Amino acid sequence: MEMNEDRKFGLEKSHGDHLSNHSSGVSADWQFNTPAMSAAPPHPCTAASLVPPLTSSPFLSAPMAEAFVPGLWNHHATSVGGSNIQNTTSAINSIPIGRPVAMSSKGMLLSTPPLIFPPSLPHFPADSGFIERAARFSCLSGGGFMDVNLLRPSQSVAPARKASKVVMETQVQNSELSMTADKVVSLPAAYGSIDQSRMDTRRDRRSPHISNSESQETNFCEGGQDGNVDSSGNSSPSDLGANKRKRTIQDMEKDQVQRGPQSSSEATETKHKVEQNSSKHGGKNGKDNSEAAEEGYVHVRARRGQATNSHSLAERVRREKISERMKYLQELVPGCSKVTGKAVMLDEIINYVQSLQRQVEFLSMKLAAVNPQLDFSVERLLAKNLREFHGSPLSIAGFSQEMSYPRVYPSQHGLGHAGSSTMVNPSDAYRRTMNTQLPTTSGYKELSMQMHNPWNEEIVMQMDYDANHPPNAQEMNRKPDGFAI
Amino acid sequence: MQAAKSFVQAFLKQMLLGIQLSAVSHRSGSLQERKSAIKLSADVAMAVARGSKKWTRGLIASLSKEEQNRSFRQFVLGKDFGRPAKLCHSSWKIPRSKNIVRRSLRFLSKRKSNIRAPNSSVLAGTLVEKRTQVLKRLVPGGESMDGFSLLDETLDYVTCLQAQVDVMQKLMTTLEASKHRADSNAQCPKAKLHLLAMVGSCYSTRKGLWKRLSKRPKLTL
Repeated sequence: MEMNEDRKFGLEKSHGDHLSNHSSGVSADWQFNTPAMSAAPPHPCTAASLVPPLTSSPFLSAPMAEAFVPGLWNHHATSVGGSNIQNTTSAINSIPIGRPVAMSSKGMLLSTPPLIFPPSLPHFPADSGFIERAARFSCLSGGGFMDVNLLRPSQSVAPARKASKVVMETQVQNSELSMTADKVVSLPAAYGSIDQSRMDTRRDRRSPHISNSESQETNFCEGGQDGNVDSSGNSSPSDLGANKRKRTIQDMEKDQVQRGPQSSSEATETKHKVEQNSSKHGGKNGKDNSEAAEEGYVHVRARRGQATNSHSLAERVRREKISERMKYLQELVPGCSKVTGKAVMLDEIINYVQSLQRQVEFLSMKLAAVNPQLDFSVERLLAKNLREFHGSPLSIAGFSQEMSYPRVYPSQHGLGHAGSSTMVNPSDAYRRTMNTQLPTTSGYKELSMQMHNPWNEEIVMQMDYDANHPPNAQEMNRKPDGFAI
Repeated sequence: MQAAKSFVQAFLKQMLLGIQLSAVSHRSGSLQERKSAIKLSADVAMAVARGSKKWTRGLIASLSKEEQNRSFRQFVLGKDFGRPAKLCHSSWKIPRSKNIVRRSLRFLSKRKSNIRAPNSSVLAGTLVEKRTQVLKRLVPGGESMDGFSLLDETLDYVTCLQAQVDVMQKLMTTLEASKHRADSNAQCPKAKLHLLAMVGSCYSTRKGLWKRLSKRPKLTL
């Protein structure tokens, strides 16, 4: 993360044009094709898509920027005119723009090269009120995961003046975001591959993005998700939410303090921040959202120096979403942190998925071999081993206690949603078991009290799939509630 | 963490239940049959435990289509087993007009040939494209997803696969340990305990049902 930050600031420092920086950072991820990119830092620089720096300090690492830039401009969209380049910094000026590029806007993550659009917007009015609102909006939508109320005021962001596309109400955004965020993040986070704090920092810094990408994603896969939403929604992000809220508030204050006395150039910085909050691009989702009254709209502003074409904005949003997803996948797939570029990443992912599937096959074969009668009776498994440690009376007493608990159908568990999902209607046997299988957490806690101390300590599920993350043994020892017998 | 725990529990429970159900139907099959029964219950359990995602729907749909799973389907899917088509939203292909596709392909190939030096972006694009195709085949239900949701579903699928592998490994160590009773104390206590904790928590109240399902005499302890 530090590397990212340094690079981000280095990039921005060297440019003086924050847009180019961000785009260059983003494009750096996927510009593996250009020779310049081979010199690029290995870790994908998502910094580009991050919130612009709060201060506009002079740029330092020009060479790095130069490395990024040639690749960028080579694949620039045709829509960019030569005149637009003037606004970019000297580091970029030398690169010819007019090259036609195979810009395909297929609906795939694949072929759209990352773009940097030179500033094409007329110069933005240095409106202190707007600056404030922009800062607030960007911060608020960054914290848009968790707290709806906190983000309420963001709706007062100025209506689009130039390249406003789609506006979405932050409230809608928030609720959807929390759902999708949880849905997307909770499982990977749960499996220890994404450190909690890292998620916080990343999310906080990329919060404008994530908000947009998540919100967009909800529209894509909203249908069957509602059931699943609650399962993961309530549990994991509470800490994230608290952290994020704190940070966004700090950010807001910082922003407002810093932006107060700043000139119009800084105004563009904040504008960039706002622009990154683009969620729905004009293209497909515009139609959906146009019907929604004032709600369901977010103003998407083109960055300074970028074409205000709805396609380019949409593509930028898409690219950012995709890069974000790739980051998650990178963390999930072991040994992928050094890999850059979509193709190689995808390769690794494919290999990993294949290996996991093969492992499942192999394990099922082994299980079949171990157990010729397919006899997985629970009592046999439990009683034999429990007796060694406890004496069965304890466990059985524990079990019988559980039976007295109300047969709640816990809605926050994924299984509950499996039952309510449209696709599978389990048989009655399944349903009955589902109804009773997960007693309330209070029941678990009580049971765990009865447990022997050594037993308690050992009831730790080592879910460290990612070698980089230490097992959460300590954490889980403290919270045996979900897992005790 | 809570979500993961509940998922793992749900998964384990479903899997053991499924295995029991399939054990009822195949008393003593060959290794292959048993293995596929176990794999089937594991997959179904994973899909059911995860809830409603595109890949879970695709997985269930593809599993339902297989003829050999009919009896299992009856158990699992209940009344709906005869209507796998309804579950197969994800197997829809994105409708594409042939003419348009042809034209665009021609155009693309022309552009590719025109550009002398291999335009690396196009090359990269095709590489990514190829790999996306492969990934689509791997992830269940991936054929009809666009690039972005494909990534998302892959993410989800990978985490669930990891969980599945983990649970199965622990189950296996437990079974092996219980089989060789003598050294069960010494070897792999932790893994076994973990699994037992899971198993116990999942099946605590269903002793009656298990007895009903498993119609074979229990092995002496």
